[in-house]
Amino acid sequence: MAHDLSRRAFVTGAAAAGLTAGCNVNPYTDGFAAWSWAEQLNERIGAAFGYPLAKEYDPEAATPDFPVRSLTLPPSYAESLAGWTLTVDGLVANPKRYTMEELRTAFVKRGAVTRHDCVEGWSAIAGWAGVRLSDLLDEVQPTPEAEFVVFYAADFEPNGNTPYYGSIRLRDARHPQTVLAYEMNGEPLPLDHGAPLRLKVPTQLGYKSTKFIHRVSFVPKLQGIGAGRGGYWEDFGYEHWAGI
Amino acid sequence: MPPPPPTYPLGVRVSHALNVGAIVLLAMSGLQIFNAHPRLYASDDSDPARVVLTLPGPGASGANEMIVLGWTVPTGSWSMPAIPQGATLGGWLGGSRRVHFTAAWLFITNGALYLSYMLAARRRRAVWPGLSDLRELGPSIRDHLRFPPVLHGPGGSLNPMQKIGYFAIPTLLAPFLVATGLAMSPTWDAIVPWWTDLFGGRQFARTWHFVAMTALFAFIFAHVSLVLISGPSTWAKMVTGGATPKEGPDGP
Repeated sequence: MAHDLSRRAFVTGAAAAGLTAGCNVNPYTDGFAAWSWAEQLNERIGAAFGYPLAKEYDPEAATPDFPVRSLTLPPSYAESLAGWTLTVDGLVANPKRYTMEELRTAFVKRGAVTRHDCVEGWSAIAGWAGVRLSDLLDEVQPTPEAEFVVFYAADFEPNGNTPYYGSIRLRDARHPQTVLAYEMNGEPLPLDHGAPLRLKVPTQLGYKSTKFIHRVSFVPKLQGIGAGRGGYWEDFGYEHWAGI
Repeated sequence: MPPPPPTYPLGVRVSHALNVGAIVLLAMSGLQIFNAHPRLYASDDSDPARVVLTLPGPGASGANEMIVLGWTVPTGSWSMPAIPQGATLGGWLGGSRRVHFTAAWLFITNGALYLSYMLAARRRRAVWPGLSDLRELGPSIRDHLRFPPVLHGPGGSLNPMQKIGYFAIPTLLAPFLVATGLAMSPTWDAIVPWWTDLFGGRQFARTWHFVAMTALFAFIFAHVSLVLISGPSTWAKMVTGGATPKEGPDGP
């Protein structure tokens, strides 16, 4: 395990060095960047099938010990949540700022019990409920130039002071099961699972479902955000479209 | 009358070489992907009560153990939390996924071309097993257990074990590997919901994928061993294709 940990520390350290230098040099991703054409092909094929719904389960199917994968939260994060708001900005006709109370009352609560498939290989089932992202889109009205929705998170990687973030294409944001969840299995979203608000994209791998969200931004392109690949893990070399 | 011996035109030799490359890339990158969560389950989600394999390492009690098909086996000081790095490709999960999915397209495209060639008349007669091959399977297995093994049927035709192997690997095992791999895709599970269910759920599909990979390598071990035993004339044919015998008692 020590070997494994040191390797991970090396990966993060190297990528963080690349990030602070303002480029996305990473000893692991660049070696195999030429192999990423399959990702583009797979995304096109996936999109060609339209927007089918992910499998839904009974609430009893929920996995008892849902694994937790997060970066580090800032000190006294839990206490700071009393003043939490969600900022929605970027290429939208109506930029907004919501309190949790407003999110709960201004939008119909939507959600489903779905299976979370982690890129590491494991799966866990849970019910997620909150604001359907397409309902939020109807409210803020993205402009025609908006291509991606970027989600900014509170957790971060302390060595490089790199915050977690993620993004999805606008067409995936319109998927009826894509929700900004404030509930997990019928309870308020626990801190470990991204309180107070997290994304859930059931048709893609778990790293797309950003936790601890405080800002949602609509952008025309991903360049200029992080290392420019659309997410904390994407900047390390994971696919932006995580349907496989 | 024995079936004709198979021929190995350039297309088949190139296809076989590409297949070797694709399988090496898939296996090594696949083991790196497996390392990110070296456990297998017989369930849809990762249900700890339905673990079928964990590698030797610290278990719930803190002592080293491994779990194989529900049996917890103490492993003393031996610990193997992951496949050794030297047997893997991609450096880490992100790199290995890129290699795996790119090599998968090579494997699928190459395999589809070879499968269509298998429908060609001469290939069909030479490779497709018939009822007589099933009847002769017992003696054929005994021929392979002998040393040196009897390598070919009459006139250089394929023996029943060769036919069954060369037929079943591309038509059954390889498609099963692709199908169980695809069953792990959350988008594919949404597109064709019964697909993942067919294998008992996503984690079960991951287990089948691993089992099928192991079966493929068991075949490759036997296949390569027999090629090595068969000697230099066969090795030369793998490169040149070999000339079809024009005369002789069993010649066409």
